[in-house]
Amino acid sequence: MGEKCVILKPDFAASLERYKRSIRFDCLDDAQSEALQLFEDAGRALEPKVMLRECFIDSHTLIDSLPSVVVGSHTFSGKALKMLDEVNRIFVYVATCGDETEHFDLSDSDMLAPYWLDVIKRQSLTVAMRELRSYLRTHYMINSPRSLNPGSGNVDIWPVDQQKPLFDLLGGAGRIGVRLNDSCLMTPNKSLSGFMFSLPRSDWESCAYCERENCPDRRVKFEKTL
Amino acid sequence: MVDMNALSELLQRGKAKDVKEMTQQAVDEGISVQTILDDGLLSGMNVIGVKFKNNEIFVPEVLIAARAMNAGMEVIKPLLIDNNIESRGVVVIGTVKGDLHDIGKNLVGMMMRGKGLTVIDLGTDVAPQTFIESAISNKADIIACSALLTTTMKEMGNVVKAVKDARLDESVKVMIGGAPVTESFKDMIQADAYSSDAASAAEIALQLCRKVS
Repeated sequence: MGEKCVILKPDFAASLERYKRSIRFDCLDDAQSEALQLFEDAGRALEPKVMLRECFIDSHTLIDSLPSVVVGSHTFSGKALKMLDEVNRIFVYVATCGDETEHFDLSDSDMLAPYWLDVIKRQSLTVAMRELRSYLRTHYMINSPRSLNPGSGNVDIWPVDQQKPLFDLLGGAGRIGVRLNDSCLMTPNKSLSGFMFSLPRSDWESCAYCERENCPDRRVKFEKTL
Repeated sequence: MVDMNALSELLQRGKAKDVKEMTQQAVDEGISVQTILDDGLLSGMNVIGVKFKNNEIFVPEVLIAARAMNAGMEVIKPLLIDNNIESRGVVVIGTVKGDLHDIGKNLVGMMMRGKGLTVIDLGTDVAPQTFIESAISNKADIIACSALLTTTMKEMGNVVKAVKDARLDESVKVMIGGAPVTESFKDMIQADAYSSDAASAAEIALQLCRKVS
């Protein structure tokens, strides 16, 4: 089915400048020291991580009219998987900000402290994703990897419950501190999972399948014909 | 004499410390708590709500304004109780089961507080029964459900059903919202109200509370 799992642990140095901008630090005159302390504590603690595995698609098929792929003993189905029609190799991944701040007790902190922490965690996740792309570039010469993520966008695009077989392909992601809850959501909350792959068509983005309007992360327009 | 417009301005700029001090000053000067609340704090939050709806400001600005309002509310809260100024309604709010997204839900909660409503925030991944139990124990007028995922918005239908099963549908209204939620979805699951943004949600909640009470 492919190689064993690889774990990446990039260095993380949170950007104070971006943090301050994101939380409107200048307005927090009475809580600046608290916001800075949280930045220091979380920035020091967080260790972004990525777990990935090179896998090969055994077959492409249709299940209940939905494009599907079989990888080892696992089957994945969803409208967006049509994009894998001409793909044979995928990189299954889970990237995370790290679980080192999950035990932080913010109950007595400023009411915005959970939001501040999320801002720092997002920076950490960004570093993890950058490391993953860099790894694929240097080890596999994939310069513009595309990504599909279960649960992203409309329900039929790639259902979130397909997180389970995805995690199975990695043998679970506990080694990097990521767990699925009963609803197939990941903790830490700033984690991403999916398939990465190289595609001849360079302008494709998974957003093309999703009709959700006003999405802040939209990269391309919704394509009705897909 | 403290100028209520100035208090509103400070709140809009998120100056929590200044809002707290000015609110205290207004109290010390004998300005009625209702005036401070309506013409200072809630007025400022209303402006923030409108600007957010019109995309003139974004999430961080709303959060720091809400934080400033909270600082002012801390000063007048004991006086509101002393003066028997009742809450304008009680809302139990949460992100539905299977969904951990909470920024939108938090914004709605803050906007509702900005309208003078009492908000009980149940957090994320909230099961229908938890909504029901909280609505009963807090004598809620509204259950407000949020979802960001198309996969989890279905849970809102379960909340509506749970309200009916508990025979609360006469006294408790169910509001829904979140990125994938639409007016037609509201009709489909027979919820009472839908809102596309946080500011409108707070306004609709206030109207619903007036109807309920």
